[in-house]
Amino acid sequence: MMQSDNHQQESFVCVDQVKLFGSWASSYTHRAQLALKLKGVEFEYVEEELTNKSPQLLLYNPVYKKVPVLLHGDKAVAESVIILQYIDETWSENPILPDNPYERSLVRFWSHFADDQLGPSVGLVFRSTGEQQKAAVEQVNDNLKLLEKEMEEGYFKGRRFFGGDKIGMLDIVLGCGSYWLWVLEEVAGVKLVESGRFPRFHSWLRDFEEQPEVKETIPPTDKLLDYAKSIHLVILLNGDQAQAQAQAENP
Amino acid sequence: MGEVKLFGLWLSPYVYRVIWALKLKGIEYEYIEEDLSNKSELLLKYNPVHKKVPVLAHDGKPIAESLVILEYIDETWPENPLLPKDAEQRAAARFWAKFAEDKATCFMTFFRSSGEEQEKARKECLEMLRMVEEYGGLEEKKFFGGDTIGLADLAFGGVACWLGVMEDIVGVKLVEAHTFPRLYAWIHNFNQVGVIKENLPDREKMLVFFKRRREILLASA
Repeated sequence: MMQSDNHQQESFVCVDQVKLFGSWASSYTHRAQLALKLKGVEFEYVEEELTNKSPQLLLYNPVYKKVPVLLHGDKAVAESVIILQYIDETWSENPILPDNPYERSLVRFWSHFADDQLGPSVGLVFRSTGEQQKAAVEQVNDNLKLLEKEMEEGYFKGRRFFGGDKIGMLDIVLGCGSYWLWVLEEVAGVKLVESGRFPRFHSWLRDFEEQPEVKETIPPTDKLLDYAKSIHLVILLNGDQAQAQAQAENP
Repeated sequence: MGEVKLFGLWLSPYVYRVIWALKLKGIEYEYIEEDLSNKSELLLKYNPVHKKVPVLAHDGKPIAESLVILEYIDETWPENPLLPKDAEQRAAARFWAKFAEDKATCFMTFFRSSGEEQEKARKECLEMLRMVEEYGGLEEKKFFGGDTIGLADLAFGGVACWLGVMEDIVGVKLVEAHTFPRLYAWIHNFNQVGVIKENLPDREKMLVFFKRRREILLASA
Protein backbone atom coordinates (compact mmCIF):
# COMPACT_ATOMS: atom_id res chain seq x y z
CA MET A 1 0.00 0.00 0.00
CA MET A 2 1.37 3.42 -0.88
CA GLN A 3 0.32 6.67 0.72
CA SER A 4 0.98 10.15 -0.55
CA ASP A 5 3.58 12.12 1.36
CA ASN A 6 1.28 15.03 2.12
CA HIS A 7 -0.63 13.95 5.20
CA GLN A 8 -2.45 17.29 5.35
CA GLN A 9 -4.61 16.27 2.45
CA GLU A 10 -6.89 13.28 2.34
CA SER A 11 -4.47 10.40 2.11
CA PHE A 12 -4.66 8.77 -1.25
CA VAL A 13 -4.23 5.06 -0.81
CA CYS A 14 -3.00 3.30 -3.86
CA VAL A 15 -3.25 -0.44 -3.63
CA ASP A 16 -0.90 -2.26 -5.94
CA GLN A 17 -2.70 -4.89 -7.95
CA VAL A 18 -2.12 -8.49 -6.94
CA LYS A 19 -2.01 -11.21 -9.57
CA LEU A 20 -1.35 -14.89 -9.04
CA PHE A 21 -0.19 -17.07 -11.91
CA GLY A 22 -1.02 -20.66 -11.16
CA SER A 23 -2.27 -24.02 -12.23
CA TRP A 24 -5.57 -25.34 -10.88
CA ALA A 25 -4.20 -28.75 -9.86
CA SER A 26 -0.94 -27.49 -8.41
CA SER A 27 -0.72 -27.75 -4.65
CA TYR A 28 1.99 -25.09 -4.71
CA THR A 29 -0.53 -22.74 -6.31
CA HIS A 30 -3.13 -23.67 -3.70
CA ARG A 31 -0.72 -22.61 -0.97
CA ALA A 32 -0.49 -19.09 -2.35
CA GLN A 33 -4.24 -18.86 -2.98
CA LEU A 34 -4.99 -20.01 0.55
CA ALA A 35 -2.61 -17.53 2.15
CA LEU A 36 -4.07 -14.62 0.17
CA LYS A 37 -7.59 -15.72 1.14
CA LEU A 38 -6.66 -16.01 4.82
CA LYS A 39 -5.37 -12.45 4.72
CA GLY A 40 -8.36 -11.13 2.83
CA VAL A 41 -6.18 -9.93 -0.03
CA GLU A 42 -8.02 -9.42 -3.29
CA PHE A 43 -6.20 -10.86 -6.24
CA GLU A 44 -6.62 -11.73 -9.86
CA TYR A 45 -5.97 -15.37 -10.65
CA VAL A 46 -4.41 -16.28 -13.98
CA GLU A 47 -4.58 -19.93 -14.99
CA GLU A 48 -1.45 -21.07 -16.80
CA GLU A 49 -1.48 -23.82 -19.34
CA LEU A 50 1.72 -25.60 -18.43
CA THR A 51 2.31 -26.99 -21.89
CA ASN A 52 1.89 -23.50 -23.33
CA LYS A 53 3.25 -21.03 -20.81
CA SER A 54 2.36 -17.39 -21.16
CA PRO A 55 5.04 -14.83 -22.03
CA GLN A 56 4.20 -13.14 -18.74
CA LEU A 57 5.05 -16.24 -16.72
CA LEU A 58 8.33 -16.66 -18.56
CA LEU A 59 9.10 -12.99 -17.93
CA TYR A 60 8.34 -13.11 -14.22
CA ASN A 61 9.98 -16.46 -13.51
CA PRO A 62 12.70 -16.86 -16.11
CA VAL A 63 14.84 -19.09 -13.89
CA TYR A 64 12.35 -21.89 -13.23
CA LYS A 65 9.47 -20.98 -15.59
CA LYS A 66 7.05 -22.48 -13.05
CA VAL A 67 3.90 -21.63 -11.17
CA PRO A 68 2.97 -20.16 -8.81
CA VAL A 69 4.24 -16.64 -9.35
CA LEU A 70 2.87 -13.75 -7.35
CA LEU A 71 2.84 -10.36 -9.02
CA HIS A 72 2.36 -7.47 -6.61
CA GLY A 73 2.38 -4.25 -8.57
CA ASP A 74 5.55 -4.75 -10.60
CA LYS A 75 7.20 -7.04 -8.07
CA ALA A 76 7.37 -10.70 -9.00
CA VAL A 77 7.88 -13.42 -6.40
CA ALA A 78 8.42 -17.09 -7.23
CA GLU A 79 8.61 -20.33 -5.19
CA SER A 80 5.61 -21.07 -2.99
CA VAL A 81 7.33 -21.03 0.44
CA ILE A 82 9.01 -17.76 -0.46
CA ILE A 83 5.68 -16.36 -1.69
CA LEU A 84 4.05 -17.31 1.61
CA GLN A 85 6.68 -15.40 3.55
CA TYR A 86 6.37 -12.41 1.22
CA ILE A 87 2.59 -12.43 1.75
CA ASP A 88 3.03 -12.59 5.51
CA GLU A 89 5.53 -9.72 5.52
CA THR A 90 3.45 -7.52 3.23
CA TRP A 91 -0.02 -8.00 4.72
CA SER A 92 0.21 -8.11 8.47
CA GLU A 93 -3.36 -9.18 9.38
CA ASN A 94 -3.83 -12.82 10.37
CA PRO A 95 -0.14 -13.70 10.55
CA ILE A 96 0.81 -17.12 9.22
CA LEU A 97 4.28 -17.18 10.74
CA PRO A 98 4.87 -17.06 14.51
CA ASP A 99 6.75 -14.19 16.19
CA ASN A 100 9.21 -16.41 17.99
CA PRO A 101 12.41 -17.03 15.92
CA TYR A 102 12.83 -20.56 17.22
CA GLU A 103 9.33 -21.54 16.24
CA ARG A 104 9.83 -19.84 12.87
CA SER A 105 12.93 -22.00 12.34
CA LEU A 106 10.87 -25.13 12.98
CA VAL A 107 8.17 -23.95 10.58
CA ARG A 108 10.84 -23.47 7.91
CA PHE A 109 12.57 -26.77 8.69
CA TRP A 110 9.38 -28.81 8.37
CA SER A 111 8.30 -26.86 5.28
CA HIS A 112 11.56 -27.93 3.64
CA PHE A 113 10.91 -31.47 4.83
CA ALA A 114 7.52 -31.39 3.13
CA ASP A 115 9.03 -30.23 -0.18
CA ASP A 116 12.42 -31.96 -0.18
CA GLN A 117 11.52 -35.28 1.39
CA LEU A 118 7.82 -36.07 1.84
CA GLY A 119 6.59 -34.62 -1.45
CA PRO A 120 9.18 -36.36 -3.66
CA SER A 121 8.58 -39.71 -1.92
CA VAL A 122 4.86 -39.44 -2.71
CA GLY A 123 5.68 -38.45 -6.28
CA LEU A 124 7.88 -41.52 -6.63
CA VAL A 125 5.02 -43.82 -5.61
CA PHE A 126 2.95 -42.26 -8.33
CA ARG A 127 5.58 -42.64 -11.02
CA SER A 128 6.77 -46.16 -10.28
CA THR A 129 5.55 -49.73 -10.29
CA GLY A 130 6.46 -53.08 -8.78
CA GLU A 131 9.42 -53.27 -6.43
CA GLN A 132 10.39 -49.65 -6.92
CA GLN A 133 6.90 -48.59 -5.91
CA LYS A 134 6.96 -50.82 -2.84
CA ALA A 135 10.17 -49.15 -1.71
CA ALA A 136 8.67 -45.72 -2.39
CA VAL A 137 5.60 -46.55 -0.28
CA GLU A 138 7.91 -47.51 2.58
CA GLN A 139 9.67 -44.19 2.26
CA VAL A 140 6.37 -42.29 2.43
CA ASN A 141 5.49 -44.17 5.58
CA ASP A 142 8.91 -43.47 7.10
CA ASN A 143 8.43 -39.77 6.36
CA LEU A 144 4.95 -39.70 7.84
CA LYS A 145 6.32 -41.51 10.88
CA LEU A 146 8.80 -38.67 11.41
CA LEU A 147 6.02 -36.12 11.10
CA GLU A 148 3.72 -38.03 13.44
CA LYS A 149 6.53 -38.25 15.99
CA GLU A 150 7.06 -34.51 15.81
CA MET A 151 3.36 -33.94 16.36
CA GLU A 152 3.37 -36.37 19.26
CA GLU A 153 6.53 -35.31 21.10
CA GLY A 154 7.92 -32.19 19.48
CA TYR A 155 7.45 -28.46 19.79
CA PHE A 156 4.00 -28.50 18.20
CA LYS A 157 2.57 -31.26 20.38
CA GLY A 158 -0.91 -30.73 21.72
CA ARG A 159 -1.78 -28.13 19.10
CA ARG A 160 -4.78 -28.32 16.85
CA PHE A 161 -2.76 -26.82 14.02
CA PHE A 162 0.97 -26.19 13.69
CA GLY A 163 0.03 -22.52 13.80
CA GLY A 164 -1.86 -22.98 17.07
CA ASP A 165 -5.61 -22.36 17.03
CA LYS A 166 -5.44 -20.99 13.53
CA ILE A 167 -3.67 -22.43 10.52
CA GLY A 168 -0.20 -21.07 9.80
CA MET A 169 2.44 -21.45 7.12
CA LEU A 170 3.37 -25.02 8.01
CA ASP A 171 -0.28 -26.09 7.94
CA ILE A 172 -0.60 -24.46 4.53
CA VAL A 173 2.55 -26.12 3.20
CA LEU A 174 1.75 -29.61 4.48
CA GLY A 175 -1.97 -29.33 4.01
CA CYS A 176 -1.83 -28.26 0.41
CA GLY A 177 -0.46 -31.45 -0.98
CA SER A 178 -1.64 -33.97 1.59
CA TYR A 179 -4.85 -34.51 -0.35
CA TRP A 180 -2.67 -36.16 -3.01
CA LEU A 181 -2.15 -39.04 -0.59
CA TRP A 182 -5.78 -40.12 -0.90
CA VAL A 183 -5.99 -39.35 -4.60
CA LEU A 184 -2.84 -41.32 -5.40
CA GLU A 185 -3.92 -44.26 -3.28
CA GLU A 186 -6.94 -44.54 -5.49
CA VAL A 187 -5.13 -43.95 -8.77
CA ALA A 188 -1.97 -45.95 -8.17
CA GLY A 189 -3.91 -48.66 -6.39
CA VAL A 190 -1.60 -48.79 -3.38
CA LYS A 191 -2.25 -48.28 0.28
CA LEU A 192 -0.05 -45.28 1.09
CA VAL A 193 -1.15 -44.55 4.58
CA GLU A 194 -2.02 -47.50 6.81
CA SER A 195 -5.19 -46.56 8.67
CA GLY A 196 -4.68 -46.01 12.35
CA ARG A 197 -0.94 -45.59 11.91
CA PHE A 198 -0.80 -41.81 11.98
CA PRO A 199 -3.71 -40.65 14.18
CA ARG A 200 -2.38 -37.15 14.84
CA PHE A 201 -1.59 -36.56 11.19
CA HIS A 202 -5.09 -37.75 10.25
CA SER A 203 -6.92 -35.60 12.75
CA TRP A 204 -4.80 -32.55 11.87
CA LEU A 205 -5.52 -33.03 8.17
CA ARG A 206 -9.21 -33.48 8.78
CA ASP A 207 -9.35 -30.24 10.80
CA PHE A 208 -7.32 -28.44 8.13
CA GLU A 209 -9.64 -29.54 5.33
CA GLU A 210 -12.66 -28.36 7.34
CA GLN A 211 -11.45 -24.77 7.38
CA PRO A 212 -13.72 -22.64 5.15
CA GLU A 213 -10.83 -20.98 3.28
CA VAL A 214 -9.30 -24.40 2.61
CA LYS A 215 -12.62 -25.72 1.29
CA GLU A 216 -12.77 -22.75 -1.06
CA THR A 217 -9.25 -23.37 -2.31
CA ILE A 218 -8.77 -27.10 -2.83
CA PRO A 219 -10.46 -28.40 -5.97
CA PRO A 220 -13.08 -31.14 -5.56
CA THR A 221 -11.64 -34.64 -5.13
CA ASP A 222 -13.29 -36.06 -8.24
CA LYS A 223 -11.61 -33.38 -10.37
CA LEU A 224 -8.25 -34.16 -8.78
CA LEU A 225 -8.87 -37.87 -9.31
CA ASP A 226 -9.59 -37.42 -13.00
CA TYR A 227 -6.50 -35.30 -13.40
CA ALA A 228 -4.27 -37.78 -11.58
CA LYS A 229 -5.71 -40.68 -13.56
CA SER A 230 -4.94 -39.00 -16.87
CA ILE A 231 -1.36 -38.23 -15.85
CA HIS A 232 -0.84 -41.70 -14.43
CA LEU A 233 -1.96 -43.36 -17.61
CA VAL A 234 0.44 -41.29 -19.66
CA ILE A 235 3.30 -42.10 -17.27
CA LEU A 236 2.70 -45.80 -17.41
CA LEU A 237 2.45 -45.80 -21.19
CA ASN A 238 5.30 -43.49 -22.00
CA GLY A 239 7.84 -43.84 -19.19
CA ASP A 240 10.49 -41.07 -19.16
CA GLN A 241 8.83 -38.63 -21.46
CA ALA A 242 5.67 -38.64 -19.44
CA GLN A 243 7.65 -38.33 -16.23
CA ALA A 244 9.13 -35.10 -17.54
CA GLN A 245 5.65 -33.92 -18.46
CA ALA A 246 4.27 -34.78 -15.06
CA GLN A 247 7.13 -32.97 -13.41
CA ALA A 248 6.49 -29.90 -15.52
CA GLU A 249 2.87 -29.93 -14.44
CA ASN A 250 3.55 -30.52 -10.78
CA PRO A 251 6.31 -28.07 -9.95
CA MET B 1 23.55 -13.93 24.10
CA GLY B 2 23.08 -17.36 25.63
CA GLU B 3 25.10 -20.46 24.96
CA VAL B 4 25.72 -21.11 21.27
CA LYS B 5 27.12 -24.37 19.92
CA LEU B 6 27.82 -25.27 16.31
CA PHE B 7 28.18 -28.87 15.21
CA GLY B 8 30.13 -29.00 11.98
CA LEU B 9 32.59 -30.50 9.59
CA TRP B 10 35.87 -28.78 8.76
CA LEU B 11 35.40 -28.76 5.02
CA SER B 12 31.68 -28.29 4.59
CA PRO B 13 30.50 -25.15 2.77
CA TYR B 14 27.14 -25.55 4.54
CA VAL B 15 28.87 -25.33 7.90
CA TYR B 16 30.88 -22.33 6.76
CA ARG B 17 27.70 -20.45 5.86
CA VAL B 18 26.86 -20.57 9.56
CA ILE B 19 30.39 -19.78 10.73
CA TRP B 20 30.44 -16.69 8.52
CA ALA B 21 27.06 -15.53 9.82
CA LEU B 22 28.13 -15.96 13.44
CA LYS B 23 31.40 -14.11 12.80
CA LEU B 24 29.68 -11.30 10.91
CA LYS B 25 27.47 -10.70 13.90
CA GLY B 26 30.21 -11.14 16.48
CA ILE B 27 28.46 -14.05 18.16
CA GLU B 28 30.58 -16.18 20.46
CA TYR B 29 30.12 -19.88 19.98
CA GLU B 30 31.62 -23.23 20.76
CA TYR B 31 32.54 -25.30 17.71
CA ILE B 32 32.23 -29.06 17.81
CA GLU B 33 33.83 -31.06 14.98
CA GLU B 34 31.77 -34.09 14.03
CA ASP B 35 33.09 -37.31 12.62
CA LEU B 36 30.38 -38.31 10.15
CA SER B 37 31.36 -41.97 10.33
CA ASN B 38 30.84 -41.81 14.08
CA LYS B 39 28.22 -39.18 14.83
CA SER B 40 27.96 -37.87 18.33
CA GLU B 41 24.92 -38.67 20.47
CA LEU B 42 24.19 -34.99 20.77
CA LEU B 43 24.10 -34.53 16.98
CA LEU B 44 21.71 -37.46 16.58
CA LYS B 45 19.54 -36.06 19.35
CA TYR B 46 19.58 -32.55 17.86
CA ASN B 47 18.98 -33.56 14.25
CA PRO B 48 17.17 -36.90 14.29
CA VAL B 49 15.48 -36.28 10.93
CA HIS B 50 18.58 -35.74 8.79
CA LYS B 51 21.48 -36.58 11.15
CA LYS B 52 23.58 -33.97 9.34
CA VAL B 53 25.69 -30.94 10.04
CA PRO B 54 25.50 -28.03 10.51
CA VAL B 55 23.35 -27.93 13.62
CA LEU B 56 23.18 -24.87 15.81
CA ALA B 57 22.17 -25.23 19.44
CA HIS B 58 21.13 -22.03 21.18
CA ASP B 59 20.66 -22.58 24.91
CA GLY B 60 20.09 -26.22 24.16
CA LYS B 61 17.48 -25.58 21.44
CA PRO B 62 18.63 -27.22 18.21
CA ILE B 63 18.21 -25.76 14.73
CA ALA B 64 19.13 -27.78 11.65
CA GLU B 65 19.69 -26.90 7.95
CA SER B 66 22.08 -24.11 7.14
CA LEU B 67 19.62 -21.70 5.51
CA VAL B 68 17.13 -22.17 8.34
CA ILE B 69 19.96 -21.55 10.80
CA LEU B 70 20.97 -18.36 8.95
CA GLU B 71 17.46 -16.94 9.19
CA TYR B 72 17.29 -17.88 12.87
CA ILE B 73 20.61 -16.15 13.52
CA ASP B 74 19.45 -13.07 11.61
CA GLU B 75 16.19 -12.85 13.56
CA THR B 76 17.81 -13.45 16.93
CA TRP B 77 20.85 -11.16 16.51
CA PRO B 78 19.74 -8.31 14.24
CA GLU B 79 23.12 -6.48 14.02
CA ASN B 80 24.77 -6.62 10.59
CA PRO B 81 21.62 -8.00 8.99
CA LEU B 82 21.76 -10.81 6.45
CA LEU B 83 18.40 -9.87 4.99
CA PRO B 84 17.12 -6.42 3.98
CA LYS B 85 13.91 -4.95 5.40
CA ASP B 86 12.09 -4.69 2.08
CA ALA B 87 9.80 -7.69 1.47
CA GLU B 88 10.56 -7.95 -2.25
CA GLN B 89 14.31 -7.87 -1.67
CA ARG B 90 13.96 -10.47 1.07
CA ALA B 91 12.07 -12.68 -1.35
CA ALA B 92 14.81 -12.24 -3.96
CA ALA B 93 17.52 -13.11 -1.42
CA ARG B 94 15.63 -16.22 -0.35
CA PHE B 95 15.05 -17.17 -3.97
CA TRP B 96 18.76 -17.12 -4.79
CA ALA B 97 19.72 -18.84 -1.55
CA LYS B 98 17.28 -21.63 -2.39
CA PHE B 99 18.58 -21.75 -5.95
CA ALA B 100 22.14 -22.21 -4.67
CA GLU B 101 20.88 -24.96 -2.39
CA ASP B 102 18.79 -26.80 -4.97
CA LYS B 103 21.42 -26.71 -7.71
CA ALA B 104 24.40 -27.76 -5.60
CA THR B 105 24.12 -31.42 -6.60
CA CYS B 106 25.29 -30.89 -10.17
CA PHE B 107 28.62 -29.61 -8.83
CA MET B 108 28.99 -32.67 -6.64
CA THR B 109 28.26 -34.93 -9.60
CA PHE B 110 30.73 -32.96 -11.71
CA PHE B 111 33.37 -33.63 -9.08
CA ARG B 112 32.54 -37.28 -8.53
CA SER B 113 32.30 -38.48 -12.08
CA SER B 114 34.12 -38.79 -15.35
CA GLY B 115 33.33 -39.30 -19.02
CA GLU B 116 29.76 -38.89 -20.19
CA GLU B 117 28.29 -38.50 -16.73
CA GLN B 118 30.71 -35.70 -15.95
CA GLU B 119 30.07 -33.98 -19.26
CA LYS B 120 26.34 -33.99 -18.48
CA ALA B 121 27.01 -32.57 -15.01
CA ARG B 122 29.35 -29.96 -16.45
CA LYS B 123 26.60 -28.73 -18.77
CA GLU B 124 24.14 -28.59 -15.87
CA CYS B 125 26.61 -26.60 -13.77
CA LEU B 126 27.13 -24.15 -16.62
CA GLU B 127 23.38 -23.80 -17.04
CA MET B 128 23.03 -23.05 -13.34
CA LEU B 129 25.85 -20.50 -13.44
CA ARG B 130 24.30 -18.93 -16.54
CA MET B 131 21.06 -18.34 -14.62
CA VAL B 132 22.91 -16.54 -11.85
CA GLU B 133 24.94 -14.51 -14.34
CA GLU B 134 21.86 -13.40 -16.27
CA TYR B 135 19.23 -12.97 -13.56
CA GLY B 136 21.13 -12.65 -10.28
CA GLY B 137 21.19 -8.85 -10.45
CA LEU B 138 24.97 -8.73 -10.03
CA GLU B 139 25.37 -6.16 -12.80
CA GLU B 140 23.80 -3.59 -10.48
CA LYS B 141 25.48 -4.43 -7.22
CA LYS B 142 28.64 -5.77 -5.66
CA PHE B 143 26.93 -8.57 -3.76
CA PHE B 144 23.53 -10.27 -3.82
CA GLY B 145 22.98 -8.41 -0.56
CA GLY B 146 23.94 -5.03 -2.07
CA ASP B 147 27.02 -3.31 -0.65
CA THR B 148 27.53 -5.94 2.00
CA ILE B 149 27.18 -9.72 1.89
CA GLY B 150 23.86 -11.26 2.86
CA LEU B 151 21.95 -14.51 2.91
CA ALA B 152 22.28 -15.28 -0.79
CA ASP B 153 26.00 -14.47 -0.84
CA LEU B 154 26.62 -16.89 2.02
CA ALA B 155 24.54 -19.52 0.24
CA PHE B 156 26.77 -19.19 -2.82
CA GLY B 157 29.91 -19.46 -0.70
CA GLY B 158 30.52 -22.91 -2.13
CA VAL B 159 30.85 -21.40 -5.60
CA ALA B 160 33.20 -18.72 -4.32
CA CYS B 161 35.53 -20.87 -2.30
CA TRP B 162 35.07 -24.57 -2.99
CA LEU B 163 34.54 -24.55 -6.74
CA GLY B 164 38.10 -23.36 -7.37
CA VAL B 165 39.47 -26.36 -5.50
CA MET B 166 37.23 -28.74 -7.48
CA GLU B 167 38.23 -27.09 -10.75
CA ASP B 168 41.93 -27.53 -9.90
CA ILE B 169 41.49 -31.19 -9.09
CA VAL B 170 39.25 -32.08 -12.01
CA GLY B 171 41.29 -29.92 -14.37
CA VAL B 172 38.25 -28.19 -15.86
CA LYS B 173 37.37 -24.54 -15.32
CA LEU B 174 33.68 -23.72 -15.05
CA VAL B 175 33.80 -20.02 -14.18
CA GLU B 176 36.09 -17.77 -16.18
CA ALA B 177 36.27 -14.00 -16.44
CA HIS B 178 35.26 -13.92 -20.09
CA THR B 179 32.40 -16.45 -19.81
CA PHE B 180 30.87 -15.30 -16.53
CA PRO B 181 32.16 -11.75 -15.91
CA ARG B 182 29.61 -10.82 -13.21
CA LEU B 183 30.01 -14.06 -11.30
CA TYR B 184 33.77 -13.89 -11.63
CA ALA B 185 33.77 -10.37 -10.15
CA TRP B 186 31.40 -11.46 -7.37
CA ILE B 187 33.69 -14.39 -6.47
CA HIS B 188 36.64 -12.02 -6.28
CA ASN B 189 34.73 -9.49 -4.12
CA PHE B 190 33.33 -12.18 -1.86
CA ASN B 191 36.79 -13.56 -1.20
CA GLN B 192 38.03 -10.09 -0.24
CA VAL B 193 35.55 -9.75 2.62
CA GLY B 194 37.43 -9.93 5.94
CA VAL B 195 35.15 -12.43 7.65
CA ILE B 196 35.35 -14.74 4.65
CA LYS B 197 39.11 -14.42 4.16
CA GLU B 198 39.75 -15.14 7.82
CA ASN B 199 37.39 -18.10 7.98
CA LEU B 200 38.07 -20.70 5.36
CA PRO B 201 39.28 -24.28 5.54
CA ASP B 202 42.96 -24.69 4.82
CA ARG B 203 43.23 -24.82 1.02
CA GLU B 204 46.14 -27.25 0.93
CA LYS B 205 44.34 -29.57 3.32
CA MET B 206 41.23 -29.36 1.14
CA LEU B 207 43.17 -30.07 -2.03
CA VAL B 208 44.76 -33.16 -0.52
CA PHE B 209 41.47 -34.40 0.95
CA PHE B 210 39.33 -33.84 -2.14
CA LYS B 211 41.96 -35.19 -4.52
CA ARG B 212 42.05 -38.45 -2.57
CA ARG B 213 38.28 -38.46 -2.34
CA ARG B 214 37.90 -38.13 -6.10
CA GLU B 215 40.44 -40.90 -6.73
CA ILE B 216 38.52 -43.24 -4.45
CA LEU B 217 35.17 -42.33 -6.03
CA LEU B 218 36.43 -42.83 -9.58
CA ALA B 219 38.11 -46.12 -8.69
CA SER B 220 34.92 -47.50 -7.23
CA ALA B 221 32.64 -46.23 -10.01
